[in-house]
Amino acid sequence: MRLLSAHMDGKVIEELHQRYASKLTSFSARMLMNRTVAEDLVQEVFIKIIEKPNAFDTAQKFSTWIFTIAHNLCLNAIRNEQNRDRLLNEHYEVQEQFIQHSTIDVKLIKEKMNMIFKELSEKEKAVFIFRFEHELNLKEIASILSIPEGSVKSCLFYMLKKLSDQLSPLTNTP
Amino acid sequence: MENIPDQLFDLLEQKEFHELNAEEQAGVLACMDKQTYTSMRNASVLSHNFFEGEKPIDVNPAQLQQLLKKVETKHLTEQPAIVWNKPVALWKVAALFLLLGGGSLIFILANQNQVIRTSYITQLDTVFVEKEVPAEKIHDTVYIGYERKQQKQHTHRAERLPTEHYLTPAQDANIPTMSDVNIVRIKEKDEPINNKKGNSIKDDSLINAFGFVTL
Repeated sequence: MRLLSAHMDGKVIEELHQRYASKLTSFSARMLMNRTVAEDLVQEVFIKIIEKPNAFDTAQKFSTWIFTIAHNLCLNAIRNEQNRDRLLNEHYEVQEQFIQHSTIDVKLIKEKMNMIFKELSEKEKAVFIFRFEHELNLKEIASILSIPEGSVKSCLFYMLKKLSDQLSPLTNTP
Repeated sequence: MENIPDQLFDLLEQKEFHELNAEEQAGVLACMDKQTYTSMRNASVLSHNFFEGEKPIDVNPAQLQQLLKKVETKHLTEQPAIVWNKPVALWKVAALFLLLGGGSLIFILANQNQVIRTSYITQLDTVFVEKEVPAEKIHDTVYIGYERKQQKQHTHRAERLPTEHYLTPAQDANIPTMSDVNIVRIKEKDEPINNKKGNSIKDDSLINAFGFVTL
């Protein structure tokens, strides 16, 4: 993160883009259920970084900061009623896109998980993605979502319980 | 949620229930039973697997080019002014504008009806002349000199004045006295002797007739 400290030049942006663009797009696409909107949103994240590099608090991790920006922009997009309508119409397409790379054995489970995922709240979705895709710890997730660590723990616990209840018939677990 | 151990989620991802040591099992069993742990572990593993098969999303290179252009533009338009880089409270900016705006308004209103005439007043506004200024005389005391008159002492007069200033007894005899002056009393004025004689020129008949006399 020393790259960001002194000058925000082309090399810095190139490096940051290489490290985070794909992750941010993936996260935003899952949150918004729309890849095109997600790509625009990621572009907006980087523009914010270019314009206000001093907003970065060096006390925290850069990944935490960049995901916080992305998460906030996602929430804004979701709250936008027009976007919400559009997303509802397009979300199935995204599901298909995520499913197409899966093996046939896990396809049913993935479909089920997609359905469960769709029913999650924005906070639960974010916690789910940060925990299981980006493998962040509870503290980092709490920092990104600006909520207490206890809330993250609680959210994750009940989400896993719900998933286990709904997936148990498929996995033949009692 | 106080009962959920901090490491529970790590354990769910990493270990089966039978792989937990005694301490970990005790911690887990404090908040759930073995079955719940097993089903939640399945859900946790599936959640991880849910993302594992995903290909990383390819990023459009055009996006990076746009960002690089944005960086260039920012560097070109960036001013070195330090003042603008410092955050300023909105109320301070508003107060400054109000102060300047209000002051200007008052100034405009005050000078609205005034006709400003410009004229050449003078080239030299101050002239220094060196001259001595005499000290002012203040007459606060007046001295009046006079001789004290001494009382006439006739007895000593002869002694003080020279003798030639005095009349001789013969001279003194010729000085007329009040008895020598012809004093006509008021009563005597009406006596016949003092009547008009008619020999004045005003009484002449010719003068009275013609007003003049020719010889």
